[in-house]
Amino acid sequence: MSATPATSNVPAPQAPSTEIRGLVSLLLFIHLFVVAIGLVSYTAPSALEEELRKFFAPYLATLNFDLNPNAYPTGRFYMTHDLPVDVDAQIHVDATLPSGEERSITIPEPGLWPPERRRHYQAMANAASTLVGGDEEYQPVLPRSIAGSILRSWGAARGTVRIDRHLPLQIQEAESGDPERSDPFGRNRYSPVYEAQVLVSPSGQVDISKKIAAGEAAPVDRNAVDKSAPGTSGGEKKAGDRPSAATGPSAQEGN
Amino acid sequence: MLTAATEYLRSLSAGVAAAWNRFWFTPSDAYPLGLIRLLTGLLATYFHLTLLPDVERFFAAGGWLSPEAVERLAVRGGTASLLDFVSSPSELLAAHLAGLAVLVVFTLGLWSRITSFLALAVILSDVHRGPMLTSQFEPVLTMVLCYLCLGPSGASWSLDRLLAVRRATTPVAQAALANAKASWTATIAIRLIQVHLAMLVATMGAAKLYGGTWWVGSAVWWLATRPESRLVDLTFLGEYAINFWTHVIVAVELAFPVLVWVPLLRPLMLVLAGVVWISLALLTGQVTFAAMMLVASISFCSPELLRSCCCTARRPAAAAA
Repeated sequence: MSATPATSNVPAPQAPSTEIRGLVSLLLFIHLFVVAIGLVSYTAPSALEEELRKFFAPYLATLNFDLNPNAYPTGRFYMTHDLPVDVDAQIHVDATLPSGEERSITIPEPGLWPPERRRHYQAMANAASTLVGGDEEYQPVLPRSIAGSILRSWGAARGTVRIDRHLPLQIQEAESGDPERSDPFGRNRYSPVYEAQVLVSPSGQVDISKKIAAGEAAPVDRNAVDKSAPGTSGGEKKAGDRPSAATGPSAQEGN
Repeated sequence: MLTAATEYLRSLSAGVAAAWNRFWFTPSDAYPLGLIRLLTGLLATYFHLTLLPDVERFFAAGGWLSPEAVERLAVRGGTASLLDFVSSPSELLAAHLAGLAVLVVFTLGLWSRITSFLALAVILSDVHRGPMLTSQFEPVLTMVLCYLCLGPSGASWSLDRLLAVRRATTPVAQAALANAKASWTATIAIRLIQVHLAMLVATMGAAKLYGGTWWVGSAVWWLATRPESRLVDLTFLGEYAINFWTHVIVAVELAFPVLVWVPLLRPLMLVLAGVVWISLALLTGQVTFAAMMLVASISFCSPELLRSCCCTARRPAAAAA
């Protein structure tokens, strides 16, 4: 293996002229500088990095090199910090149709195939859940768009949209042997963090009025379930252990 | 003293310039680039294809992801997508199928110089039209697609190559064809993939250290306990195993961007990184992300190694045939 691209057994081709080398070098330098700005500003950008990123945003965003292009993290390259938003979420839309029939949908729907399709839906549900923990301005954007579209397609004038976070098991819960405690899909594992009423006018205009949001919801008390998670990041959370939801990588975007 | 300083600066700049030119402009074999194009094309086609059943639901006028909602969430201004210009279900389907055709042609390596740009446009359009459908995979995919536009990605593993070989009947034409396989643009493309990948992996490692879970060794547990995402249930692992796995992921992600440039350690780092990407796929279900990281890592393999591996793989197949 070699980091130097080898020439193999082919006749040596021409190297570029000095002028072309100079021009390409300049372009390479600028490009790599901008890419570096896009990457180093991912976690906790300084004011200078943030300004530079804003300046180069058109280039970074167009080529998808900006890892924080939105008001929520798309690619969570840190994978998890055990933040409230670092879990999978579900979106539920319920409505009563004019005929009286009750209809509901859960996103991601079960049975999606291939797995990549499920990943798209899960990413969307997770984005909606993440927005709930951030700026009020952005919270209703996805629920309104998704639920409004669904209610219109059903012909329903009103309905509700709810976002649940699927809380993970503590290590001791998984080891407990008690099926109720160790069931990862148990009812107590789902915590509603956002619920809103959605109204669709005859002209198709969608209005949304929030009932609960993350801070107001009463999620399952994970500390009460088990206080001895692995390390200090589970049941016994300490203020200094990890960044808050509002300051974690990318989570501050849009705040 | 001043003379010595001037002399030092002169030799430093000459040394840096020579190293820069050697690093970026030494003509190289495009064989790895062709293999990366083929595999990236397959992943891009798969990604695009999996949007097909839902393209109307997501992107049609009045669909789940209205352009206004997407625009609203883009904190630094929205980015254009070819899908912005179509909204009826039939137009969307036609545009999506046209994109699929582009990706298939690109994967096969036909008219690669043109289709590489078109493939990038197709994938960027998908990403910009529905960023909330994306995760870790897409930034790596678009990164590699972007750099494949710069080099002769159709010089090997392609229909372009096959057609060129058939056309080259004279010794002169065959010599010219052999020459065309190596170029400095191939070096630029490969080097950009290498450098960008190393920077991205460093970012991943640094981002992990920003949170306590990766320090205290519990992060793998929190990934393993996401039943919606994970591929396999690994919650049977003990606490020490969880701790070890977590620390290995961080250590490899921090070491890779530095040690992969050391020739002696490169094979070891590539193997360790491969193990980490596959383990993360098992933990998080991000199979396409892991596959894309493995494909991008091919940029660090020498053409000789890849040729010998591919020849070894072909021989039993030929014998079986």
